[in-house]
Amino acid sequence: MNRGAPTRPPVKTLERTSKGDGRVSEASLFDRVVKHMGEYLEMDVSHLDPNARIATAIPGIDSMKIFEMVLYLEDCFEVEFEEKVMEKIDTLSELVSYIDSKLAAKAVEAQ
Amino acid sequence: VSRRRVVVTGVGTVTPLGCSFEQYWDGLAGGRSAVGPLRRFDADRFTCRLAAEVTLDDVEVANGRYGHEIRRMDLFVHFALAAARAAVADSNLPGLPSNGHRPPDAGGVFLGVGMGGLPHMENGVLHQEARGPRKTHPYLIPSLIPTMAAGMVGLDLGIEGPHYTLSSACSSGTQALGEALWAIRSGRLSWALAGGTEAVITPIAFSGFQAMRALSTLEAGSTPRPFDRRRDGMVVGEGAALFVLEEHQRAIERGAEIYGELKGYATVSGADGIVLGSTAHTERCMTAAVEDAGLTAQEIDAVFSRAGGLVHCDLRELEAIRRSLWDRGGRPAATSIEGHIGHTFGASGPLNLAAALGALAHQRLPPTLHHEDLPPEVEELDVVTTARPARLRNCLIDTFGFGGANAALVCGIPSAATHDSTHGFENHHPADSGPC
Repeated sequence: MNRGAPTRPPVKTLERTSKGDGRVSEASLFDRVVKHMGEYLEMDVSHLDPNARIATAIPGIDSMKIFEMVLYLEDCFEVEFEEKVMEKIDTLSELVSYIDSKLAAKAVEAQ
Repeated sequence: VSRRRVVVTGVGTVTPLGCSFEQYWDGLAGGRSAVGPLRRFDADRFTCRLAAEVTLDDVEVANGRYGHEIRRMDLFVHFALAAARAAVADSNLPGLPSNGHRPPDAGGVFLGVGMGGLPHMENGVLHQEARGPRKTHPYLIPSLIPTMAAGMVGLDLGIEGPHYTLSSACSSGTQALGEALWAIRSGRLSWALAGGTEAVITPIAFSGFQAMRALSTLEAGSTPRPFDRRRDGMVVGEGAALFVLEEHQRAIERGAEIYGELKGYATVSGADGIVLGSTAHTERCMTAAVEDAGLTAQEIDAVFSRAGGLVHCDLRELEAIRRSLWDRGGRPAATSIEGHIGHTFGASGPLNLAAALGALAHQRLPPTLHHEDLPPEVEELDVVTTARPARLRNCLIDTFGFGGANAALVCGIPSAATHDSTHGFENHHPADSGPC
């Protein structure tokens, strides 16, 4: 019986880039975000491009799914998103940039 | 003026004995108990480590337009959906999804739910304490509110009439069926999907019932012991049963197969304590249901009892059976299915209705498992201890819910049943009815 939200996959250590600031490359991070969104939604969303609007580009998405997907992405990347920032995020590119900034802040904290 | 009659034209069941009506009936008539060691969670710390569990792999409903949401619902919603889809498919009901039909033909949903999403509530609290309120799942509340079973059934199947959730503890499903009966009888609806669902095999439920000393501590294979002198408590079960109820003439005109007629219903308040049934009020309720059916005590051939092996409640019900039926000239046999499937709370009335419809169709009574000796106060009563053929015209179903919710239903062979449109009623006479 298939019940409940998808289980978060084990968090893998992100490959660091030569930037040396703890960030992964934007392209790599974009792919990871799209992959995790697909896992959560249990559908292929690999067609999404950076300009895709999160609230409208995915068939069947609604506010409840977005709220839940945010929790899922937080667990995947082991970061916490700020509510007020998330309310303003519109496109996938903005989401990826935000996750990138949270990862960078986390890397700085770890140092 | 003749009143509108209501018949059952579709049955869907999810039970610890199997998830088809046929498997359920075969298990009941075959005297098979689904009570065994609890597997859903580690029960070592509880005094009762038994349960009658549904095999969850047999309940796959997370598909269709609402598959994403269904997957997040608690088990009681899954059970209701599985039973609802099966009942509607069984009935060959035309016109779904309704696409704008107005009542009475848009149908309705009447669902009894005793405790709703107790497992999700418990997990939600634990999750909040472990990870903080910010990590609480957004679907937590929708997944556990009792109305979500009826709501998802309506949305999933496209039933656009009203949907109601009745919550009166262990009488929830009985009241849901009764209120649906009255809604169709009154002309407000021409058909409805009605029944009950429950799934509370979760640690907090065991803690709660253990604190009340309500759970049996006897060994598997010997408990629960409905009506028996050595009864010591109930065993927790789970499941759902939903029925397509239709106005009789409408069912005849569309050539529907008829399982039986829902003839009478009564519900009254009263108890000897907030969790303790009462002989007087149970008697009052049973008598009113038989009167609502337009029958006499002599026309009731069997009682599908609520007895689950509870020390104080079982005897009160037996005394009520004697007063309401035996003292009025009736000689109905009494049987309990709780030895087979445990106590199913809000689903118990509907699961007993399914059992009674099986009994009517096969003219055979399922046994009361683990019952050996009646208490001395009611020794003259007839409790079914082994499956047996019986001449069955009408059956009474009795339930009691915490808070004094007494409810009873009467179902029977339709008085003008025709052999070619009625399930199994050609085996009407005991002489003709062989083993199932």
